[in-house]
Amino acid sequence: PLGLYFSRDAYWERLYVDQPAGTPLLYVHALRDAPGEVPSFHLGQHLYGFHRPRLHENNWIRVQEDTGLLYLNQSLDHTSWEKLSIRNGGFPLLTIFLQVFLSSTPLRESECQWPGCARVYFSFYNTSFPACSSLKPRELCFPETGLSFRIRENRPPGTFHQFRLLPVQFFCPNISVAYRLLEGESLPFRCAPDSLEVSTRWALDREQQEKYDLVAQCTVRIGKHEEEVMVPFPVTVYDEDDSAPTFPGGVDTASAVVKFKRKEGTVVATLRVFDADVVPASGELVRRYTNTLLPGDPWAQQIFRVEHSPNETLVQANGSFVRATVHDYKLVLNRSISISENRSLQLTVLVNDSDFQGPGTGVLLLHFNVSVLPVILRLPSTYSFSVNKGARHYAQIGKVCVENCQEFSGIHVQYKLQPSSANCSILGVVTSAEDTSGTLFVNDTETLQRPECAELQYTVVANDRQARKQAQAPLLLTVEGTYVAEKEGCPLSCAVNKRRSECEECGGLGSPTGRCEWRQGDGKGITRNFSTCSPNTKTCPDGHCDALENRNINICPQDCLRGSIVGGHEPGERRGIKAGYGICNCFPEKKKCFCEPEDSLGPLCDELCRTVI
Amino acid sequence: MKLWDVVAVCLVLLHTASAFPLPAANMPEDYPDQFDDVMDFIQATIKRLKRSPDKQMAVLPRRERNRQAAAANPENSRGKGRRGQRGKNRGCVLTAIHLNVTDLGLGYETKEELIFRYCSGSCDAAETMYDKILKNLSRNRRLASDKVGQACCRPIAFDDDLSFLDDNLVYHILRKHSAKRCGCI
Repeated sequence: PLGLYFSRDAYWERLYVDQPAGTPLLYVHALRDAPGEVPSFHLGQHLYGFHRPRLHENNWIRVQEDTGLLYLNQSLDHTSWEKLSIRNGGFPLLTIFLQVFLSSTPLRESECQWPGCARVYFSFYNTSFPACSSLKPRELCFPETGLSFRIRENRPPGTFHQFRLLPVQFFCPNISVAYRLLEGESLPFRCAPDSLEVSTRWALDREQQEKYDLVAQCTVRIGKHEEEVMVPFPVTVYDEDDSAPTFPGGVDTASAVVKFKRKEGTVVATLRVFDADVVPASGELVRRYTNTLLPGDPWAQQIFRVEHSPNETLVQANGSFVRATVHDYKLVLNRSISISENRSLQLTVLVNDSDFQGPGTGVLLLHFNVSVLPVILRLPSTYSFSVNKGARHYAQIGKVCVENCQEFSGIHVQYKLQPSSANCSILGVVTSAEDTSGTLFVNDTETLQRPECAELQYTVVANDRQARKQAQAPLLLTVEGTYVAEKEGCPLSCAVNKRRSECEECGGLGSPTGRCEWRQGDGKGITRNFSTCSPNTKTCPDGHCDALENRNINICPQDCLRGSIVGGHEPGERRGIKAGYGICNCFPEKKKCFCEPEDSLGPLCDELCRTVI
Repeated sequence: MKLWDVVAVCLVLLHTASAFPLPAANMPEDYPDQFDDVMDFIQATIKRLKRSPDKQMAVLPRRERNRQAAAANPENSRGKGRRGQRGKNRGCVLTAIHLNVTDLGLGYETKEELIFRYCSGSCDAAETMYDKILKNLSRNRRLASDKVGQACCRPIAFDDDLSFLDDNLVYHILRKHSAKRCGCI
């Protein structure tokens, strides 16, 4: 169906000024896709130059339609050379090419593409053909540019190369040249001892061997002197879709349970398909290698989709590696599933390698057995927390979480607190979307200090609005410690403090003890472990602006600041300081942070100066 | 003007500095009818130039003029610090220095370099009545703190951002790190 094809996409030869008409130049070769095909070679109308401008109409070179022999029909003289050179932009090296087509009705000339068209390049020298004695053995044997060939697998064998250089043979008939293919005996290539032609002996199979690295040897005999030249002779085998997809290890069924991970995009199960071919190529693959979720349960059609990810791999064959393709088919959630859903279902996916020509079929059926289990919301029996009497607004007291909440994804649980007595309410709760937990914090510092509110009871309610499910648990809060009045002149935010002493003397928004905490960094350049003052070094800074810190910029600007950072630093992904130099302190109202190294010499000098005075 | 006139003007300007009369041999004699006109023009031009040496600049191209002005008045050559004022001190001006990024003391480890520009110089010339009164009050100890705000030579605009790659192949951007214009503020 494909027709004939060239065994190379480019040919090279030298041209000299004033070579006579009738000089043979080279052979082009076409191989057959089906027995009985006969090539008919035609040349394109123009000669092309360096960057493919049309240089001139081709009046000089002709091809023999049946043999593929290119020859000079008319001598190329010096005037022609100059004319072509000027049209080529005056480049010192004149390389021209023309196009050879396989079909008798040439395609548009701008579309010269293998397999139906090949380019023949000529390096055109502004001298006459050199004296035979001056030619080196390498020049007598092989063209300048390396030989390389492409042969399709499963196609009739045939001749694909002709070794001798025709102009050399034409001008220097006294030099004897013989060719041989090394390592060719066991391989499907033949170059008979006295022959100059190379052919395949039988059809090639890419799945057996993809590349043949042969060596061509040439023996030049001038009088009694003999010399050998060797060049690489690589042959690449082109693939076609002659292998059906299979299951590696025969596994065509995958089972999966959907429970805590219910988010859209979750991969539920994966099945792998192997195909020994590397066609269709990646650009065509998705169109030619189709998959269909077979209809059954209409709910499943909406909830699941199949994702196809093909990948090239290497498999061993005959002691060498050849390329092959593995296709991973992933069953993916198309949307988040409600926690109350409880089903068992079987899904069948039809995979079709539509390029496969047989024998047999290119169709496979993948089976997925999926159980979707419900999630029951449950809170541990009782919570009990204590809070320091001196705790400040937004101080974190603890976390509440339904069972298995760490594993959840795509499940949205909201937490609420119901106080048992309406006049003593201290706590608030924020729900974190990332880990489905609730963070308890101090919401009312005045009530905290009232002596009658020393022991409080709450009910924690976890609620999934989509499934209308909820869970409850009692929570006991005890107020401990004594209230110590705030030192005067302390800032609202702990992060403002730049020195350890002033940090630990003051409290700030979010501190559970009523005192800020100092984090001493390692002091090594720009580091994530920079020195800073925060309400609670366990939660701030940790490089993550959590739901509670997000409530007020004064709690932890180190994690949450959106503004400018002055001094050596690395900014956080979206906000905050990822790494800082020395001590970082912040002015949240000004939306600014400063990072600079601890100048330990400063206070030392002050004291020294005072002593001297 | 005819082509010859243009050539003549150029010649005149080239020779003004030496003030020698133009050698007649340099002049092609292909245009005898125009020759007298040209000589008149040259003489008139020379007279005008001698009368007012400042006018010479009006004839020169703009770039040349600026260069001459800069050479005559080096104080003003850089920046727009204190335009055209001759104060007691060198005014508030922009100064450039070539540095390694590591010299900035920001903790970055890199081999990159930069041109750092900063503002320096006195701001005496920018004094206002307000500054005078503040000075007098602090001298007479009528103000508790003697650190009253004086005009400072500070950047009023910053250079473009500078980005560089550090030794760990992380990019950093310095913003507002170098002055572009200076002013007394």
